[in-house]
Amino acid sequence: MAITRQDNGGKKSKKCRLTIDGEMTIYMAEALKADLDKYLGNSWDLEIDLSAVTELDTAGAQLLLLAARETERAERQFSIIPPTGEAFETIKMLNLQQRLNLPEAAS
Amino acid sequence: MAKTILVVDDSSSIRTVVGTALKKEGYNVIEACDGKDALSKLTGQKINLIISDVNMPNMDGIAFVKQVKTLPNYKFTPVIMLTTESEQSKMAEGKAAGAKAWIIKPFQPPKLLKAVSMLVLP
Amino acid sequence: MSIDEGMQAYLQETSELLDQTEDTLLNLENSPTDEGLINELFRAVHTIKGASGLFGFDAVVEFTHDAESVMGRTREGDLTIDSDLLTLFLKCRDHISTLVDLAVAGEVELPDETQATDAALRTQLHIYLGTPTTEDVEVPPVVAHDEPPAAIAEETERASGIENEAWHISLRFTAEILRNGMDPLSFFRYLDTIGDIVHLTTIDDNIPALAEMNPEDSYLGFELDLLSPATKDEIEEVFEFVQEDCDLHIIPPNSHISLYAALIDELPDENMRIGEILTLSGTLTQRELIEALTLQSITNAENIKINEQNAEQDATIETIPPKPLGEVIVENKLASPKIVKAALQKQEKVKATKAKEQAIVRVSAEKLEELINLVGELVISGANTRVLAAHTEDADILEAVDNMSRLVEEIRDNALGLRMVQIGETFNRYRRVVRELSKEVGKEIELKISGGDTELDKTVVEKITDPLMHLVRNSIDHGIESPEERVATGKPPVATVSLNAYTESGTIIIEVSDDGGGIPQNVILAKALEKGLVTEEQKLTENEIYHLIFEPGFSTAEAVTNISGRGVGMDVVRKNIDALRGHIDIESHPGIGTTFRIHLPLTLAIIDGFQVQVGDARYIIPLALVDECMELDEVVTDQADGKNYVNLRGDALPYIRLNELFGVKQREKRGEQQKHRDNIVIVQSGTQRAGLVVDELLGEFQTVIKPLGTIFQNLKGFSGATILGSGEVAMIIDVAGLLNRVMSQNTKPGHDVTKENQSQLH
Repeated sequence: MAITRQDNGGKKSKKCRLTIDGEMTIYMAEALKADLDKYLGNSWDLEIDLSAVTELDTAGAQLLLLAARETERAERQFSIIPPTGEAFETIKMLNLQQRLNLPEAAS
Repeated sequence: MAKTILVVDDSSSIRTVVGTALKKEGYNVIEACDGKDALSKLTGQKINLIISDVNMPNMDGIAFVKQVKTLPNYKFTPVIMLTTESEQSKMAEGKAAGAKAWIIKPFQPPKLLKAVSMLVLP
Repeated sequence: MSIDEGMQAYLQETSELLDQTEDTLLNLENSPTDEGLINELFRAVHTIKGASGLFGFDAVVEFTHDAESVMGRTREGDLTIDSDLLTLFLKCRDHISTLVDLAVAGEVELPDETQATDAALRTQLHIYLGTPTTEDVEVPPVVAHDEPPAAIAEETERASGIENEAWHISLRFTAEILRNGMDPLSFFRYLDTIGDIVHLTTIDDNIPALAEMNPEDSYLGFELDLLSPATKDEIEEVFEFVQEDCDLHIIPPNSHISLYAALIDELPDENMRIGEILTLSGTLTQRELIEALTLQSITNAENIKINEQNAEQDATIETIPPKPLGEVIVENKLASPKIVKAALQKQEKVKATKAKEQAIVRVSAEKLEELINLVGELVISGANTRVLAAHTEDADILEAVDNMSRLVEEIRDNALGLRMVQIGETFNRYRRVVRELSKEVGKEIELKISGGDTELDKTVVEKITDPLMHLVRNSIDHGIESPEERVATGKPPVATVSLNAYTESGTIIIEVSDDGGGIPQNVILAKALEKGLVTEEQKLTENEIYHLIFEPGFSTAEAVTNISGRGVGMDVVRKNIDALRGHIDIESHPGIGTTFRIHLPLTLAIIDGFQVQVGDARYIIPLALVDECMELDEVVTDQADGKNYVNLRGDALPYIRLNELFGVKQREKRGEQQKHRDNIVIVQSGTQRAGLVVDELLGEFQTVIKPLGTIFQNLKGFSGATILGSGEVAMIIDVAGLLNRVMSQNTKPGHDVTKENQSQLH
């Protein structure tokens, strides 16, 4: 697991992209939360790239919901690049596509 | 990706029956004969479920679970405890340690398989 | 219940029901309109459908659904039963029997022959339904049913439930669940193997703020719908390992709405979310949800009643009527009705008031009434104590009594405050009335509401609702012109009716205004003459003319509409307002609009009064209406036109001698004092101001208003009576009424206003 932050160039595109890879499970929850703490609550739009996530459990999904809520609370855009395979199945099972602003095509 | 289950029991016949049944369902199975042995097999690989007997030599199931709960890579692994004892105190101790699923012996393999599949599908 | 036992119960039940159906059909041949028989038929088939759905016997469910729909239409009276229909029903009964047997035998595919029968019968059924598909057919719910035999009670209960073939599962986990390795996802995945999760909602409302959130704690809840032939036990078993770590509710398919009500009730904090989720996921329709919430609030109300009655007994458990499923006896916890109310209101899109509602404790009006009565007694008794204490001239006692008086005063204000409610809610009720009425009369009207936060006594609010309604209707019907007329006179086509409330010098004022054509004085006068309400000789002021519309039998509507104009109503309006010790003003300007201004007392129970002595009696003037008091110097009095005026700092202020008005002798002043000095109390009500001449000023006095008995109901000039600390009775002067009279007519010396016939007034 790793969160990589990418500020996407200049000041104009106020978007922060976090890339999470590997396992997004309760084992990583503390570390993920600590990273999210740093990036949530700023005034940037947030995009979380989950395309490299191999496993997503309820704890991971819960963190995504937290991130979505916090970003929207700050009136910023929240988006994710969806994971594939099993991790995506989790999102589908929990019926979170809409809540996580997943693009239609992905669901 | 196949799910991996660690089966801990001092009775080799039980390990075999359980192991065979699980493998047949499509799980990877790692076997251990007691708590100590089991701990030594937790070497960083992904374990999706632990099935453990309670009464075992060297390190019993309860002590084993308590140990597992301290291991960063395994502390959140679900545990099914197998026991012949319906004794409340053991079960309470085990549950307090974090082992929530209990199956009372004797049981038929289908019962265990069902319990396993509720927690981890192959 | 194992699947086999279940299957056995199913077989037994369906065969009984099919036998019963046959009997019913044969009886219907002789009495085809017997509602009891028609109901029986419908119920039996409906029950078979419900039970079959439980076992996932789709072929039976689909066919019985169609048969039941047609039977439903006969029950509704849309179809009459004739021999053709009976023949069809009998064939259907036989076919259902075949389908049941096949289903129990485990035959998923229907044999060709059965398939053909199925298709043929369904085609015939659809002819009666007038629809090519089953989807459009609304199945009416079963209204009532007799006590079912115990063995089939469960299925019958289900049969009376909502149309939903899925299990509803509601899950809330403890925080530790994830740490224990129990991921809810694994249970869902497993459920998906024994059925089909048709809908799942993840509830994330309880994820705390970023800083407080522990990522290893679980905060999520889940509501899911599962289509599955599994039994309740089997589903429950899935959650066996987490039973200590979760709050699990399972509602069987087609359950009675009360189970959903109980679920919503069980999760009171999320009351509305659950309701929303149940509707969004299609578990319940909006109507069913509201029904559930209503049912819930009724049950709660009943519970509260029971609790109050048997405070000693532990009677908090109430089963929800009608009886819930045998094995799912749901305890309806005594959840506060306020939450239910909040939920209902939110559902009705009144979101803003939710937070407020939750901070409210409901008290029965009766108890409140009792409290206020007691406070009234306390005030009187306090006044008595004060009088007695004054005699002792003991400084300590006087101080103690002063303290007590202050506290009593606070208690009084607080107690009365309990009954105060904002009028906004009442105002809002008229929105719909205005919308509907304006459509009805073809006028475009906008309702403007202001001062909704003005508070007044709940009892006043209740009694003012109808008069207000009438005034609003009156404005819409008579006040507002048609859009064409409005445009022709240069007004915007959309008219405005306004409701406004505010407090002014101790009274509440409620205004109903319109920007219509105003009240034509000449039309009123002509009408009044025609009806004999006034004579040609009478000279009436503008105000008096307007007030004619409140006379019984008066109506200016040229065409009697069904909104108002029946000639009853406006007089009732005045009567109601009178009964509240209020009065009504009319301000009207031709072409500009009309304002009805209702003046109401803040409360009906206790007022601050000003005590005066006239003759041998004491009277109370509401303190809020008293402007100032002074000695009356006879030099400045004048008797021109029979009206008395006093020169008050250069202004001519009319005054009334209360002793003359009430026909009492002036009090003999101490000894033989020749020069008698009167006192004048200057009162103001609305825009009117006048002086009341009294013998003596006795000062402020907390007055508990005792309503006048029926004998004195027509007594004018007084709004009530009170009991003084000494036990004497003092009358409370109706200042507004008095001023109206003084302003509109000459008060002749010795004329007893109190005995005047009311028709001469106003």
